[in-house]
Amino acid sequence: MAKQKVLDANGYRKFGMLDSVAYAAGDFGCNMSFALKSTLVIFWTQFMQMGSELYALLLIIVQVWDAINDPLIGSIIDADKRKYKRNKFLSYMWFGSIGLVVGGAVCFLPFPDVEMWAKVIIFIAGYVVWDAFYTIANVPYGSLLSLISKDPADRASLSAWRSVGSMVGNMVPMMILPMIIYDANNNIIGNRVFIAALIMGILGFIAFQFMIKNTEIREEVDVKLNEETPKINILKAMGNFMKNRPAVGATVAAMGMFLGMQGGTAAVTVLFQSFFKNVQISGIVQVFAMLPIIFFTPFARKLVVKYGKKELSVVGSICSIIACILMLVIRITPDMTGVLVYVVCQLINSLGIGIYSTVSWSMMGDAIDYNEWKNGSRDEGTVYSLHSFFRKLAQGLGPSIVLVIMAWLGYNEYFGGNQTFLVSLNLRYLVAALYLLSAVLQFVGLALIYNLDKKTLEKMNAELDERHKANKAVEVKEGGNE
Amino acid sequence: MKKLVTLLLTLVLCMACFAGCKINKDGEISVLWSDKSDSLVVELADSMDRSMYLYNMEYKHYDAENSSTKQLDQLEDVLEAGCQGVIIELVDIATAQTVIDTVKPYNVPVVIINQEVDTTIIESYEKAFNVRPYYTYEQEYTVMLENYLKDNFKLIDRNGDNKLTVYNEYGSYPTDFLSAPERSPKYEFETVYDIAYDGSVELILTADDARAVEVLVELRKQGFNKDKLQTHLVGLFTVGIDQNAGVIIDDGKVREGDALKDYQNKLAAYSVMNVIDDGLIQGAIVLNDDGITEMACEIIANVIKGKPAIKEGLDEEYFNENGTRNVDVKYVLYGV
Repeated sequence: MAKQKVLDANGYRKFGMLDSVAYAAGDFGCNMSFALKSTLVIFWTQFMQMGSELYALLLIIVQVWDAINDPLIGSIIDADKRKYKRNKFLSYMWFGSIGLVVGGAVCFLPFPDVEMWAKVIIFIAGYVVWDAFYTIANVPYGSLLSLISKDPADRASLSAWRSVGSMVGNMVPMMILPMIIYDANNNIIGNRVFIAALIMGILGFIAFQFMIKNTEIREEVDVKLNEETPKINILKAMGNFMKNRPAVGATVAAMGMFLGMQGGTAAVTVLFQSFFKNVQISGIVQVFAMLPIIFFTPFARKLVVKYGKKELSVVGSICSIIACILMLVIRITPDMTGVLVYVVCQLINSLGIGIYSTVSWSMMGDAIDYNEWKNGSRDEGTVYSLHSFFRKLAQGLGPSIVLVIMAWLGYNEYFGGNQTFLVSLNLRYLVAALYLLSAVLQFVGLALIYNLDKKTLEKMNAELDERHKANKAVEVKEGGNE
Repeated sequence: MKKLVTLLLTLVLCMACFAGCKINKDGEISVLWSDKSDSLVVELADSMDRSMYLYNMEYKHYDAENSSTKQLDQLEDVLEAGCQGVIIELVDIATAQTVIDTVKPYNVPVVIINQEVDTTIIESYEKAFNVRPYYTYEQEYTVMLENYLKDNFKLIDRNGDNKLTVYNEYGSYPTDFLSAPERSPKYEFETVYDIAYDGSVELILTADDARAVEVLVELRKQGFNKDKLQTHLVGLFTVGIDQNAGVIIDDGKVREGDALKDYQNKLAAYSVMNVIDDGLIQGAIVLNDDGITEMACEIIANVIKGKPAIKEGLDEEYFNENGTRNVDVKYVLYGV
């Protein structure tokens, strides 16, 4: 006899572990192409031998594409009122996942001996293709959270599991890739990066299909036939976004994370190549440093219910600030002892950041609700795409700015994994400084700007519930009159 | 919360106070080099930066610009200024006794590095030490080939006959060893005595890096070893990596020696190391820079702290004959 679905009061599959795991699979899928992004700088400067300054400039140029790409796709999705068999967000994700099978790999086409102008074209074209498909898959994915459940505890669970998916999607490549793509002298092997990207694209596709098949949409967007397609005013949406303190606060925190941590991935790689002279353990070290958050995640939901998201995240950011100051002042030597000291500092730092990241996505869900509370409209696609835009901006600008700083501190791509010691020492301090910047921005965004503490959140949800019930009653009455 | 944050920040500041303390508070360790325009010396100096940081010592580099007179003057100056130790790479090995005699009255340790000095000279002063390279080339060359062939035999077996045609300028030991009947895996070689650059010779063993670069230039003229993707590859191995290859390999596809900048960046005057990184030469036996400089720093640090200068039970990369103050440092492999 087939197992019967347990249904909730509205006739949907009751929220449970399958929803969380399916949602996690989505971020795993996204990360199968995104995780390699941290390798871009090393691949293009050291293997493809593109100058650091030129690469930094090209990175900014492709972020301009991002700036157009993200809100544009967000607006298209919002304005798309067609009826889809499953759900429009899932349909867009399905389309994006097909492109991502090869989308990530085209960023790592290994042609180091072609002319520089050809390398420029290969880089820009590859990045644009990857970015387009990634956005088509990722933007609706983020908005999906608020459609799976409106219950705060369910959202916290989805957010926490999203982080798990993201973590696994990051951890597995992070741990394994350095052992495969670097040789015994800490130099990158470009051909292998390309093959790895292809394999990860296929794995990502499988994960997306699992997610799409097992996601239950419980908060349907009401689609009316023959309704005139509404025009989305980007400037107005941007204005509303800037007035949305939770969205701005969560975005500043996320930008901090990307400017510092993501921007610093190249510096961290060179740290392991040239300072510790052991790039192959870099992945294991990074994964190990994520252990605290793995242990924290199962408790996320209970702690959120007890203390509140904002409160918990602020404590996390203070932990990170202290860990980063320690990383800056303690003498980290270029041997295994130094690696251990670095790992301990990272354990504390990542716990702090991890606390925020487990609730970050549900914070955006709450920010979307705040938009409805204050302005009367949700604008999920636009709010989320603007959040993504600023994140992408930080993700793009971060590595560019950091690469320029690295070059100023003496990094020379000619030397590959064998930078001089004094240059690698400069980068060791740069890594600590970047992590500290990350932590400080998170504190500013969460403690000073984000204004949805536990009490305010409860008040907002209660008022929104009443409003929705009232609206539904009016619709029923109007339907009866017709 | 405020009290906890204050306590933690105080702790951090206390740690910061200790972070900067060097072990040689009363004077620098002077590091005297023969000629810092020499790429080998540049690599050693870079390694010395690392080792000094590792051992937390205050130090300064001095460049004799290939003048032994200048080097002896520098030595006197640093001793007069109160240095706590001297590490010296001699311009002229004949000045070793003079150096020892100059240092002796100041009662500070002196370590001569990278050159083999007569033991009687070292024995003339109880705080004199000699850290020098240790040559076991044959074994190292064999290990290098073995490491490479394990994963890449098919890549260089161009005609697919499971036998490598080899031109050998080094010595037959490695190929004899690897083709011995009792070995597993056993490799087959056919030795030729004329070097051909047409791909018929699949493996070339040279005895020095300058020669390896000359061979590489000729191979590249015939379309071999031209790119990182290793589509047309002849296996090429050598000894040494500091030869400046940039000004020789000049076909527009390879970086030139214009990467030579100030001291900090001098390392990458496109040397054989970079050529190996690009996959155009497969491997080399090289000086163990870190081994030499770390041992020199460890000796100085131990003397300053009043410990035995050379500890018992050295790592495998070192060899110290009992009762002597000489430490031999084995060569290492690069690229494989």
